[in-house]
Amino acid sequence: MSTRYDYDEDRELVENAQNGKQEAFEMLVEKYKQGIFNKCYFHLPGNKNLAVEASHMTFIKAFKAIKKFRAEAAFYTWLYRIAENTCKDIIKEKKKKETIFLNEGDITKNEEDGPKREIFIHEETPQDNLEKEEIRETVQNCMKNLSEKLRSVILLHYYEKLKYKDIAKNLNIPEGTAKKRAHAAVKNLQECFRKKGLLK
Amino acid sequence: MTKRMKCEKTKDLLVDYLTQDLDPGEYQRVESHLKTCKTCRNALEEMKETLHLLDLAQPPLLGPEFTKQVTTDIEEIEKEPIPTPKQSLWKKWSNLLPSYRLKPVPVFASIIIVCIGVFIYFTYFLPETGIIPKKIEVTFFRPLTLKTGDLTSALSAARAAVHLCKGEIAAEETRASGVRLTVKMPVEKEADFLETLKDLGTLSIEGHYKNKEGQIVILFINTL
Repeated sequence: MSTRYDYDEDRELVENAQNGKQEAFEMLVEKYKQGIFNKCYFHLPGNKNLAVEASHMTFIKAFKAIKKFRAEAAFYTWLYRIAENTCKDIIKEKKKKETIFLNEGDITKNEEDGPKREIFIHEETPQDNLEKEEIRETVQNCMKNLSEKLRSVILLHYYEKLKYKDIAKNLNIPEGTAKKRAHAAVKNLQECFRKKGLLK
Repeated sequence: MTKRMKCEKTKDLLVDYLTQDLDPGEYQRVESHLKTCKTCRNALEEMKETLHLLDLAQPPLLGPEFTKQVTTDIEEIEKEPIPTPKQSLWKKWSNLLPSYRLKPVPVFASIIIVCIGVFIYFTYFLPETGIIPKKIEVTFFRPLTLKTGDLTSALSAARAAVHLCKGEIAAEETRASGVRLTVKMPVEKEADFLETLKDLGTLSIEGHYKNKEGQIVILFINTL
């Protein structure tokens, strides 16, 4: 597998995809699926299935619009924006249905028909890992409270293990800015963790 | 650099120190400072805990089935027929004349120029003889005037003459200028009727004395 987030390699893949080569687009999906999923995972309220759905929709939208993509821009930035908008749309839709999130799944309440259960398969949580699950949810909420600019950098730096210069290329920002945003993100998260009692 | 500034600088670099994003020189400086500063060592422990919490929240990994699902859906999309784009009205018109490459702007400009030319020609250059106006006939209508010193008798005699000539009185109006009598008279009796009027006073015939309906109009004027 090629190096992830290789800006120059992306150009070739994107050009091939724009010329109708499906395999090229599949390679792009394989490259970026985790990064996009991570983004959706923290944007949406910690539900894996929603994040998968959002990621899936992101790539389908990207495929349909690939010919409109301008090669001089960073592909990941473009893909990231599609994911951002997709997540926002999903949140809007869910708000309309007044979805209440519970540990065992989601119950969708329709005002006209009364309570209605929709099953989303959640990851099974053993009782002895309940504390870990609570911590994870708290951290996810703190991540969700970060601004999109800070969150995108911390996701790429900490979860995708990208160096600052690669983050800068992919997000189309100076390297110094990428560094500053990463530091600011961690500082904000620390504040949030202290408030929630996760840090002594 | 003061100790405080060193601490501030070190704390800023702790994340990169732990994620190994510092160049060797910076790494050494942070290491040296940490050996001598308990505050910064405590800050380092807190940063380790912070990053550990981020590790706990690591999103799950997507398996290969994700890419397969996306690929399947893309193949379905590829199979869908491409919808025919709606043609604009202009394009439809252009297609009716395939031998011409019509471009909207020059064509509209040409139409406008032609319209202006036609307007200028008809306004300023069309010769006057080009169109012969229809002849208009103007008829000046003036009622007969009968000046009399005895208006009542003259009117009475005129009414009697109308009946004698087998005519009829269409209207009789009293005006400031006099009494206006409108009479419907058979054509063959007109001359006799006029002769009778001449006997009643001074009769003036100054123009066409019949109205649009062909009725004789007489204005009786009291001279007293």
